[in-house]
Amino acid sequence: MTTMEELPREIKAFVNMYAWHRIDPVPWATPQRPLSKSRVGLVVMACMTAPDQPPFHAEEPDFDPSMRVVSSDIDPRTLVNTWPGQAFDHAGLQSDANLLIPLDRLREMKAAGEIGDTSPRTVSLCGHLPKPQRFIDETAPAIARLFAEDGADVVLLVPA
Amino acid sequence: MSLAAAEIERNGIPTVGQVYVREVAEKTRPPRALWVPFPHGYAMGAPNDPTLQLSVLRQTFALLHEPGPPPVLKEYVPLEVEAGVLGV
Repeated sequence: MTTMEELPREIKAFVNMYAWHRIDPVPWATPQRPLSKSRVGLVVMACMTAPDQPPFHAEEPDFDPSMRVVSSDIDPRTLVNTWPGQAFDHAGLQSDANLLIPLDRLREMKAAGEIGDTSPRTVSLCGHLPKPQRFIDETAPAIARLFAEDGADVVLLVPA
Repeated sequence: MSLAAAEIERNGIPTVGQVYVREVAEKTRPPRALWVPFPHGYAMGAPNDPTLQLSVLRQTFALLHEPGPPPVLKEYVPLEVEAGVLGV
């Protein structure tokens, strides 16, 4: 397991310095149907875009609180990685997009009857947001509306 | 992850996800999170390993069965341990 002590020194320093936003109180929605009957939404956080979408600009000073919406039917290998720098090792993602965008795995779970369906739209974000206010005010409510419109029963969020 | 998850939950849809660092999850408090033993960039475990990736997803979705109260933070159970527990 990764604990603070096991992190590389530069990542540990970042984790200690970063102004983490604490959720309090923690909201709690309960599932309304079994997973096998549920429509699953997906949020990915590696600054991925469809080839015809503008890249994220997740650099200092303002980073990028916007989102991209892609079809959940897309081949995850076709998404473009616009994450700046090397905050995480990109080799795995280059080898297999399902590491951070597990659409193929969700399709397999659907085929096996483990989930009901995938929500038609997938949301892509940049997970590194030192200045989250615009995200809180604009993007997060838009994400919630999107999944409500799409009839999602549960949403899976995959960090980068 | 926590900010998006919280807003989605406030709108009545349950969320699940993974976290890489326990201390970060304890600071940010996503509603339901699986603490995975993988480096950043490897949320599903390893590239081109569908068995491992499905295991991560199944354990993540299993958090939906947790009664709460939130936040719920569980450790990923490695495949070989999972197989032993399940007797498969």
